[in-house]
Amino acid sequence: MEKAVIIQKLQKIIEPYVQDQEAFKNINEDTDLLNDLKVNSANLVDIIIDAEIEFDIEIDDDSAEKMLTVKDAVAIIEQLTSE
Amino acid sequence: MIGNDIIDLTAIQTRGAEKWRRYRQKIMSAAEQNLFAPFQSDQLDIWLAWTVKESVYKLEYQLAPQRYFAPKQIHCLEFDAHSFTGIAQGRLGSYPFFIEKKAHYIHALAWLKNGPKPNFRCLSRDDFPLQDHLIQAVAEQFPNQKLQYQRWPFPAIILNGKIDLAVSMSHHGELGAYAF
Repeated sequence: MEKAVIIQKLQKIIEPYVQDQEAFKNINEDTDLLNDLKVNSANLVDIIIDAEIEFDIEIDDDSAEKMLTVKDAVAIIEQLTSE
Repeated sequence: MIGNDIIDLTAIQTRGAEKWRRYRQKIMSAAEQNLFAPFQSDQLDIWLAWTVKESVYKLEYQLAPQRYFAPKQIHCLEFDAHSFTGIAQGRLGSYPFFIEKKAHYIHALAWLKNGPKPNFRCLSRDDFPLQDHLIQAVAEQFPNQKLQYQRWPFPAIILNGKIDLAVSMSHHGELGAYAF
């Protein structure tokens, strides 16, 4: 799957859990989900589950551990969708 | 060192049964699901385990500041459903915990073994900023000492120019809690 498509879909997944809408307007690959977008850590679990459903993948615990920025999440999804 | 975490049960988003099942599997081992099984209605088991794990994460961040997101690497080993106390294992050690379970919130605290049980208080958003209440409570316990609040790399109270008191703060929904 193309990286641009992954980013677009990921933004839609993340949006309902964002608490800092200003930061979301300026989202980029370096955006930190917790620190910048103020996503509650409990909602990080939701984002992981929603991404699994959307991309039809399974994000294991080791991969989930690294999903702290948009770049991290895209890299993991990109890798899993290409397998 | 100390960690706390609060969940405002009135602010929990609705999720379908399948999503809750997956959520439970993402954060809890099979042993933990058994440990908290009596509280599965309304998914309270998830929030009991979650708040303990977050508390241990925050405590260990004070010991060795390293960010990670791995709820299953923190294990609730023991849990007494009457006293709401137990033992949790983190990456660096094991810690006693206590859960304050009320009708509208769950608040957990974890602290160092052999340490005193922490002071804590839950407040509503109307009473924020939380930090002011924390400093006031510490000042009452340590009168006539110069207090300074440290935000980064983790919250702490500097007493007389020296980092002396670990503190923890948490907020969710309309609620917040501090502990020291």
